[in-house]
Amino acid sequence: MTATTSQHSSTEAADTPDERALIARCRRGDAAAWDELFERYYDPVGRFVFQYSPAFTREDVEEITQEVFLAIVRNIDSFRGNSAFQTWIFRIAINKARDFIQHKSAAKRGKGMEHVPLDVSNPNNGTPLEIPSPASGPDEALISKEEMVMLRQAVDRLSDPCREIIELRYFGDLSYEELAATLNLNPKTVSSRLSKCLDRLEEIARPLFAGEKTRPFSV
Amino acid sequence: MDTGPTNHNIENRLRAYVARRRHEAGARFVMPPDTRHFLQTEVDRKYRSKEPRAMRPTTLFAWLGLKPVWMTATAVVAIGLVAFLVRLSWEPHRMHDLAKAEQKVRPPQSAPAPASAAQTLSAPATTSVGAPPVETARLAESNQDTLATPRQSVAASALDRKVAGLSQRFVQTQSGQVQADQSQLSQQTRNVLEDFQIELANGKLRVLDSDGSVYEAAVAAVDHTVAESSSQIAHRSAAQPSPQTAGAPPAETASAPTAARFGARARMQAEKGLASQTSVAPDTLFSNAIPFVALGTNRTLNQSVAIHGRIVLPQEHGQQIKRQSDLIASDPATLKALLQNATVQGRVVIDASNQFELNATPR
Repeated sequence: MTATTSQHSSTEAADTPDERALIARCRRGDAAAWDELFERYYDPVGRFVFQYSPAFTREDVEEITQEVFLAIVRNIDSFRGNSAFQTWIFRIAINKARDFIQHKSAAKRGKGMEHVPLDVSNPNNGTPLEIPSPASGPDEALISKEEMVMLRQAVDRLSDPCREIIELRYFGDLSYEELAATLNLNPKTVSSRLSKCLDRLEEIARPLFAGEKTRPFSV
Repeated sequence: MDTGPTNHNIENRLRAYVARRRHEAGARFVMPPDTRHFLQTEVDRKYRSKEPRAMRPTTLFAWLGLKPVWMTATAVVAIGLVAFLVRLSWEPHRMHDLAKAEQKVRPPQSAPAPASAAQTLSAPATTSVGAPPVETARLAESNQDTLATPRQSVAASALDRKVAGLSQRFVQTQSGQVQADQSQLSQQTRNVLEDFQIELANGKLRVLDSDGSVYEAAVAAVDHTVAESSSQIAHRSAAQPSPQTAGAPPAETASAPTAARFGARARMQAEKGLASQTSVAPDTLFSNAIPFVALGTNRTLNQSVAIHGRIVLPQEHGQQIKRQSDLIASDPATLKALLQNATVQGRVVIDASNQFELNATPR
């Protein structure tokens, strides 16, 4: 879980004096500071967006991430510091990813379920993406591609507060304290709300998974 | 994740989902150069627009050219400037018209005097012999009439500059002030003729008060004064009578031109003033005195003023000036010398209710 570790460490680095200074420099229009900000947050944001939907390709991620950073440039003055800067970026990313999905589904409406391309090469160096085979890792054995799509569909059917807290909790790796700060809630409230939202998600997902073959964790 | 395993199957699915997507993500996401360039361009665009407007000259021109408020203000200033210029160009014409109208209502007796008489008296310190024509003085007076009540100090200084022709400044002496009934006179009333100027031009005498008031007068011929001494009558019978005053009482001479200007009330005041002069002070006529009656409206009080005065000439010169024609015919040097050594005495009647003695000496 290298990615998990790096993403989590980025989250922990939030609110450091170094980060505050960087944001301050960015607000003054310092191009070098903006370059540093892009360098620091592009990968975490890209990974967060990539997790958002199993349908996203790296090209989709780059397109969405560009929109995310464009929004950051235009709206960095509205960041009040109530949450970690990265969390603020993740919330922007959630909105941009949803916009992208809606836009894409509107464009392809009526053409059935979107196929997930698996033979995409890395646009940066042209090498094939590191997409493991079904037997290449332990996680792969736990969930199939179809189940991932169904899980995404189930999450999308949640109410906005539930969907947001689940996405931030599991895709963004935010702790309860960070969630409480971001959502302006008491940590205990975060725990209870998350539990209720998981219950609700399970209710939604159960019929979707009913037709699936039995999995180790399936009921 | 900082929480342990949960009882939610859906949570296990979520963890599996995340793990697989992270695994599928593969290599580190690196911002493409064109994306970086695009974002830096956006950064530059955003923060350049936040720079102070003064630092960008194009912004100043844009502001000047496009701001509706600024355009409106510019238009208002331009219109005001044009109106001011139009007014400036109109004023001289207006004053000229007023002067022409005044010339028209003037009776033939007050037609322009001979060239020698056009030369006016002057105090040496303030005037010169080659002074501007009388019409210029009237224009100046008309200009004064258009003004609101001026402050006395300003008017006094302006008086020195605006008086056309030769003139002499007089101030009321202490004795004259004492003779006036100070207790019954207001401060404004006491200021009347406290400091004034006498101008003689075109056979007309004008008294210019320090507040800008102008009292017009015609010099009363000595030989028509009721209280004249017999010796003077005898002396004058041998002389040529003045064409301007022959067969006409002094009151008419004095009031004829001024009545048209100041109206019936002023004329009544003039007649009353003359009657007062002849009846109240018959002994005030001297062989070396030139009586006059000046009428006008005091600008400060906005009340009619009648001056029944006389210019008392020094003895050595007074013997030479027996009539108005003598005075007019005198050469400028003589006239200057006369007025510089003369005193002005008489009575001032303000609105027929207040009056005080006038005793002024040259200043």
